[in-house]
Amino acid sequence: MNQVLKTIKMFSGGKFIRSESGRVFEFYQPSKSSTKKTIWANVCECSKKDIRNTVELANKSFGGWSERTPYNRGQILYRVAEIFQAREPEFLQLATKLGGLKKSIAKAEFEKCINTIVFYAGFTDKYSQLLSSVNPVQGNFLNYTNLFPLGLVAIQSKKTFSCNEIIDKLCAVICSGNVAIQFLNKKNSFICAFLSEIFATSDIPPGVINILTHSGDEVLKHASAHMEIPGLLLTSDCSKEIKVVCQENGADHLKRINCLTKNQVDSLQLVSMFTESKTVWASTGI
Amino acid sequence: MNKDIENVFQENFIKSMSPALESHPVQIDNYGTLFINGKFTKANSRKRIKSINPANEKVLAEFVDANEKDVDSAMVAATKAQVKWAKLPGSERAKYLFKIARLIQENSRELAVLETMDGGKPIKESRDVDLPLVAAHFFYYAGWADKLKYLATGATVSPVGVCAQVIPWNFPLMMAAWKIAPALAAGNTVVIKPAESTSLSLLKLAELFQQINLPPGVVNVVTGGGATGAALISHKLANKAAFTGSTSVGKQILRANAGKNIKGTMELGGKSANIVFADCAIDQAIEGVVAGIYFNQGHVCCAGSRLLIQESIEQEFLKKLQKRIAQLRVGNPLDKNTDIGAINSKEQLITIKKLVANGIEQGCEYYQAETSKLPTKGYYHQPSYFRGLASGSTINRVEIFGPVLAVSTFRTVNEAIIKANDSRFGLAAGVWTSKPSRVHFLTQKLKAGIIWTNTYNNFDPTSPFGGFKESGFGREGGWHGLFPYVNIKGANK
Repeated sequence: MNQVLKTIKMFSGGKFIRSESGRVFEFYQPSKSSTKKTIWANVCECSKKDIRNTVELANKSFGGWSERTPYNRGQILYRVAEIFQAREPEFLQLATKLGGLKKSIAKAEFEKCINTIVFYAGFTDKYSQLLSSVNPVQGNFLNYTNLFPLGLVAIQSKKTFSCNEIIDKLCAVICSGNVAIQFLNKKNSFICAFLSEIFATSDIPPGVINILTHSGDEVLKHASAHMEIPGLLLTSDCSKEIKVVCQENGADHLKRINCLTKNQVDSLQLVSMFTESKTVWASTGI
Repeated sequence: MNKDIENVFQENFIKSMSPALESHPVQIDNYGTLFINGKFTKANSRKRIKSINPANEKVLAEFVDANEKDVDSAMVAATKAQVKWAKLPGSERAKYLFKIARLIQENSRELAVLETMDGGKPIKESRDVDLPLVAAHFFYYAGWADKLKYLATGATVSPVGVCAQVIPWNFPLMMAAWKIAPALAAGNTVVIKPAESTSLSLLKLAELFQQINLPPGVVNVVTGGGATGAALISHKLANKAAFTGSTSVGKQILRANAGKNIKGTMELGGKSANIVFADCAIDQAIEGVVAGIYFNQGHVCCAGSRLLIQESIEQEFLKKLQKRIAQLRVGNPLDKNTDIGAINSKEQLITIKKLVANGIEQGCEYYQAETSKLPTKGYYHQPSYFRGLASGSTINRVEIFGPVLAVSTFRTVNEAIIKANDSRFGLAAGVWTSKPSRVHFLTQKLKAGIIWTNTYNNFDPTSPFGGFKESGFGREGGWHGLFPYVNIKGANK
C-alpha cells in the first residue's frame, strides 16, 4: 500500500502552518547504506514572508508575555516540563530513528531536556536578583539598575542534532520575558512537530515561541536584516560567512547579535545576553 | 581705620584669595609624538592636525595625525604588555589605578583649564563636574582590580585582551576615564584615540601615566582623525572595540568588524525625553530641563533634548523657561560665571545652525535668548527651543548635539510614554512629578537605559551608563561596566 507522506508543519503565532511559498524539503531517515534512502516526511521550507508574518505575531505577544509575573512564567515553563515528560516514548523513537542517537544516549538527552526546562522554570524570578544592583552614588539619590527583556530574539540551531541545545537556548531567551523564533535547520527539523505540540499544549501564549524550519542558511540572512527582530543568537558552530552577513545586516539597526563560543554555557550569561539594563536615578531631596 | 593697617589688610586679603583659573595658563605643548610603550615616541606619520580653541579660534597646538603604521606599533606594544599586566596581582593593578586617580586630583586645575581651552566647555563644568568624575572613576575601578572573582560565582573571569578605544569630543577626559579605568582593572591593555578636536588633555593625562611609572604599553595614546580611528578600531590585534560617538559611525564600525572576533561596546547617540507632569515642583523642573539640554552646550549624548510638557501647564512652564534661558550667560568658557561656553568646533556649529534653519523652514515656532551678546570671535550658539513640533519633524527626531530643545505636549500618562518611546534611540529619559507611583510606573515603561526622576544629567562611577535600541549596547560604569571587559567561562548548570 502506498504510504501517505506527511508534511511537518511549522509553528507560528500559536498556529501550525505550512510555508506560504508551498515549498518543502524532504527529510530522509539516516541509514548506513548510501544507496537506500527512505523518506520520512516533507518538511516546510521557511520563506522570507513566513519570517515577516511570524515576526508580526511574535512581537504582538511580547507585551503580554513580558508583563506576566516571573512567577507565572516559571509555572508555565514547569508545565512545559510536565508535558515533555509525558512524551518520553515519542522522543526516544524520534531521537533514535531520525536523530541517529543510540538508545542510551537518547534517554540521557531526554533527561537533560527535562532538567534544563525545570532549571529555567525556577530561574524566571531569580536571574534579575543576581544581575541587578543598588548603586552607591554620591549625592541625595536612590540609584538602582535592573533588567528588562529585549523583545524578539531569533535563534539559530546547531549543525548536529541536539534537542537539549535547542531547549537550553530557547528557555534562556523566553524566561526573562522575551519572545522567540527558533530556526531549525535540516538536521534538527524533524523535532519541529514534537516541540511545537508540546508548546501548543502547555499554556505558552501563542506567539511567544515560534518554530520555523529551513534547509539552507537564507533564513538567517533575512532574519538578521529584519528591523523588528532586535536580538539574534548564533551558535558556536555558525559558519564565518553567515556570521559576517548577519553582523553586517544587523549593524544597521544595532541588532544585539550574540555568537556563542564553545565553552560559553553559563546560563546566567545566556539570559543576560538578551536583557537590557536600566538604571534609575531617583532624587531623594525633599 | 588706620590707612597703613587698611593697606596691609587688603594685601593679605588679596593674597588669601585663590587666583582666577584663567590667570593660571596651562602649559600647552606641541606634540610631534605619540604615547606608545610608555614613551612619547616619534610618529611615523608626518601629518599634523591643529588644535583650535573654539572660544577664540586661536591655534593652541599641533599634534600627530597618526597613520596605520603608528597604530600598528601602538597595538603591538599593547599586545606585548597585556600578558604581564594581566598576570600582576589584582592588588598591584589596583595601586596603579589609585595612583592615577590621586595624580589627576593633584593636577585637576591644570587639566580643567586645558579641557576648557581645547573643547570650549565652561570652566565651572570642567572644574566641578568633569575632573572630579574623572578621578572618581579611576578610584572606583581601582578597587575592582582585586575583586574580579566576585563578578561571576563558579565561573572563570579573564581579561578580554587588547582594547581599541575611540572616544568623542564632548567629555574628552571623562570618556577616557570611562574607557581606560575598567579595562585596566580587568587586566586588559589599551590603545585609545581621542577625538580630533580635543586631543590635548588625553596627551597630558599620558604624562601622568608616565609619572606613576605605569608599565610600558599598558595604555597607548594615538591621535588623529577618522582614518586613524578606523584603523584602530578594526585592527587585527584588537580583542575589544569600545566606541563612544555618533550612531552613524557606530554602525560603520559594526559593519567593518563583522565576522571578526572583536567584542564590541557602543555608546551612541540619543534623543532623550524629559517628561514634565502638571503636579511637579515647577521651579525644580525648570532647573532640570535647563541642566538637561544646556549642560555642556547640549553636547551630551544623554541630553534631555525633547521636552514633553503636560498640556495644562505648557504656557506657565514655557514662560518660566524663557525667563530662565534669558539669565544664562553665554561666552568665554574660562570665565567662572559662564553657563554656556563655546560650541566645540566650526563644523558642529554649522550642523546646529543648519538644523535650526531647517526647523524654522518647516514652520516650527523658534525661541532663543536675546539678552546676552555673543563674542565676535569663536563658535557660539544661543540657548534655544522649538515649539509646536509634529512628532515626525526633523527637530524632534534627529540628534542636534547643541543647545536646542524640542518642546511638545501631552495629555495623559500613556500619551507621554508613547511619545517618549517614539524614537530610534533609547539612551535616557527624565520624569518630573510629585507622585511616587507614577514615577515607578514610568520607569518601568520608558525604553531607556538611564532614567532620571526629579533630577537630570547626574553621573557617578558606580552607576551604569548606556542605552537601549540605536543608542548602543554595553554599559559603562558600576559593576555592570566591567562585563564588557571580561570573558566569563564556566558552567552554572
